Amino acid sequence: MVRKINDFQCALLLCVATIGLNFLVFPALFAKYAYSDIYISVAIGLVIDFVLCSIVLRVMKNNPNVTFFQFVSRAMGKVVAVVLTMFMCIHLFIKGVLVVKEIHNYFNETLFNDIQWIIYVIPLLVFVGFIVLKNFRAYGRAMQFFVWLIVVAMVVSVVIPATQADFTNLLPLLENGSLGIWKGVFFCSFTFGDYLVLLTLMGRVEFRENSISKISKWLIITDVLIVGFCVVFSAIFGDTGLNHSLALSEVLLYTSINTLTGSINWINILFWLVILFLQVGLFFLSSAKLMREALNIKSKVVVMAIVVGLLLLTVSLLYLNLIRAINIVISLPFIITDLSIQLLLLVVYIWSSIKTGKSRKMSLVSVFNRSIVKYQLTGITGVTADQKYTSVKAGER
Amino acid sequence: MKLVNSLQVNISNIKSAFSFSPDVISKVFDCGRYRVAIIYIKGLVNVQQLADYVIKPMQIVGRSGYKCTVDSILDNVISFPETKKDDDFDSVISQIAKGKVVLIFDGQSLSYILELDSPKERSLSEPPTSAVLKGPREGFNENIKTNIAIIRKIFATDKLETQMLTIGEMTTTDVCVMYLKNIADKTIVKQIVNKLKSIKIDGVIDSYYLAEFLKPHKVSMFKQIGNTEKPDIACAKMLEGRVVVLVDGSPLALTLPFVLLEDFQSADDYYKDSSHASFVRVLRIASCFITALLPGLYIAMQMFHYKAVPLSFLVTIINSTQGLPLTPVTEILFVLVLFEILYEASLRMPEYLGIALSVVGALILGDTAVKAGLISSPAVMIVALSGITLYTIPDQANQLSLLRVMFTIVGAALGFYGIIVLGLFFVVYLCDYDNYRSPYLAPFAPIIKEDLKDSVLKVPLTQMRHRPKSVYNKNRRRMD
Repeated sequence: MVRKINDFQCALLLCVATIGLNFLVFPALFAKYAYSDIYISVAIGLVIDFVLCSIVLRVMKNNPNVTFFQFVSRAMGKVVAVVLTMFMCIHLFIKGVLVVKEIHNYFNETLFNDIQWIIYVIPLLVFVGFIVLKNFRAYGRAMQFFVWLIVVAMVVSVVIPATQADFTNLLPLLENGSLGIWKGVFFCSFTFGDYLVLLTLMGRVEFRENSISKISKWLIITDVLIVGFCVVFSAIFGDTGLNHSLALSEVLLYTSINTLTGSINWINILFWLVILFLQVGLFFLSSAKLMREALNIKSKVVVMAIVVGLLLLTVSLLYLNLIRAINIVISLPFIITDLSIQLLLLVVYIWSSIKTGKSRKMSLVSVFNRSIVKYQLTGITGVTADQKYTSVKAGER
Repeated sequence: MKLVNSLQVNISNIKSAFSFSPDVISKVFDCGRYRVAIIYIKGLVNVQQLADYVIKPMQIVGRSGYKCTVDSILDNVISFPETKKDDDFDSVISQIAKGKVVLIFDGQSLSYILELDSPKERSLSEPPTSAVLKGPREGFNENIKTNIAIIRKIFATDKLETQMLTIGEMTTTDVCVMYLKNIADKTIVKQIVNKLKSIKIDGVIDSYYLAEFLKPHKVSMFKQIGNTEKPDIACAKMLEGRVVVLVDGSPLALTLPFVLLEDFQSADDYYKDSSHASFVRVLRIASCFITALLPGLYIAMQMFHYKAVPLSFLVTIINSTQGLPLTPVTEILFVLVLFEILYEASLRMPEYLGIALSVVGALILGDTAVKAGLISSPAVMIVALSGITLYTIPDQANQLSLLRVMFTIVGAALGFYGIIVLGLFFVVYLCDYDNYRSPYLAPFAPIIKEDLKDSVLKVPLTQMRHRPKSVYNKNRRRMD
């Protein structure tokens, strides 16, 4: 039995998936291409993401009891479904690995002088292993438990530095032309694509009348805060943003107000760590769920062993080198592959939804026609074509 | 096995079942046309009443020579409102063991059970574990009948439903499941009753024996079943749709389903101004975090994150920890263990010694240890603070003291990192924890807006128009 989550839990899961990467390393990476206009790049990326999320949400609402895998395999066949689900699984796994590395760097920047590799990895593997055994309902509830903390951390990270930022650094707009902005969107595309998390949640959300607007509202608030953070980042560092690779900690450290309010800074650091760990858990949990469904693995423990094993392998190979990991995800072959498959996934998804909608309409029409025949046989017909169409539409709704 | 027609055989079988124990009394006499035997256990039966209301009237009838039937004896001679018939030998034995009087007539394979038991019972005093400043002071005692009667007295309605069960092969303990039939969810009641019926155990000494069986998660350090010694709390919980389980011999009533928030709500909160109740609740929740996290955070800051400690406090810590033979973590663990030992010792000591011991422990032992340079004064202060805050939520003291040790160890090993990971671990674990369909962390995870009215902050009673959503119930409306 699928334990469903409610729309608020879905919104929080989506928001947490969106914020982590955008607040840490990626602002500096955007600066490499867009200079002080990084917030425009980020805004464009988030708008694209928002549009895709809105489409996915609508399809999800129309098919509330079908998971992504079931949805695609019904419309396009099992092979296509397995390929696309595994792609999503890998994509989210890599995102998880990136956040793991970000947290390590964040630790070294803020909390520890140099946390040992083994000391960092072992508790993390235990944590990931534990989370992977859980379900989205438990995780959604955990997000609700921490909701105030997420809101406070985000607002503090934007509002406190904003009071000290020099906004003249943002001017003139598009000083280096608009090409850099688009380059930023393209090369840092890996930071977006959070609709994939939403696709993972397909069939696991209990939709109500206003669910889509509720989820969209939360997503817009999150996007606004992310763009706000990027504005503050640009305003503080200007064109030198590239050199400040750990945006979140550096923005807070470079604002003089935090030296006066040290405890706020510490609380914020701890809050952010909670959010980042929640995000790690979410990515690996999503990855595990997708893998389990695509490969039809019955045992949760086997999936947990695979995810933990792969994480250990990846982390060992990269030896927690964030730059190496980042260089991989912003390399041209990776981006082209990733974007192409995402595009294919979207096409297949939309095509599947059209096909499913058509077949549903067909089945409704056939049911309706059968009843018309029945009525005609009993001599009480008189339904017009218009009425027929309206009834079908109403049934579909 | 059934009773037989012969009185002598029945008496001999019963006596033999009790291994001819001298406290099992059997008195045989004539009553009309019958030979009658009265069997009971000395000490468990009110002998005066037995003589006045049973034996004497029957002997008078016997002497008068009037040949009446068994039914007319029971109806007219012994005027007991409740007389049960029983022909099962094992059941008769069990009833005698429970302090009932058994009446057997010669030539009949049937026994009549009279309730003349008068066990010595404690008065309804205020329970020591849940003393209140205002509100009812009555507490349950060890007699299940008295406890049922107290609840019945509060709920003067036919909506109060009880189900009696007998659990324990040797103790044959009476267990009563009580709920309001127009509020409690039937499925939950059924689930609880079925679980109780399935218990096969030799004896039930206290309600906690049953709590172990009723727990939805068998291996867990977290409290899963609510309990109370106060009838007013038990009734308030029944009004929220919960089920109360009473056990004979235990003053502790079990309440189900249980959610964590219940332990942060004190009976006092409902008998005083809601603004003050809210203030106290915030303190309780803060105390909970202080208890569990403070020693761990202190160790983590001292060992890894000294930059997070305010400079003046850092100087104090450095000055007081210089030259100590123990490392910070062993120092804190030493003080924690010392605190637990003092607590256990003062609990088991006679009252007058307990007070003296706690004074000696807290003042002299702590002070001497600091002066001897064994431990530092900040460490004593941190553990003492966490120790005091522990008892603002007495019902969670066991769990919190365990959590405190865990967080101290991970704080020492991994710093804030360990504390955060362990904290997340517990939150996610508890979020997946449903207790008879009630989410354990409700109304915070999942957020239930209506139930937040009686959570961290408590709104006045007039605004709590509905029963909590976190506990499944049939009738949500509380007032119009």
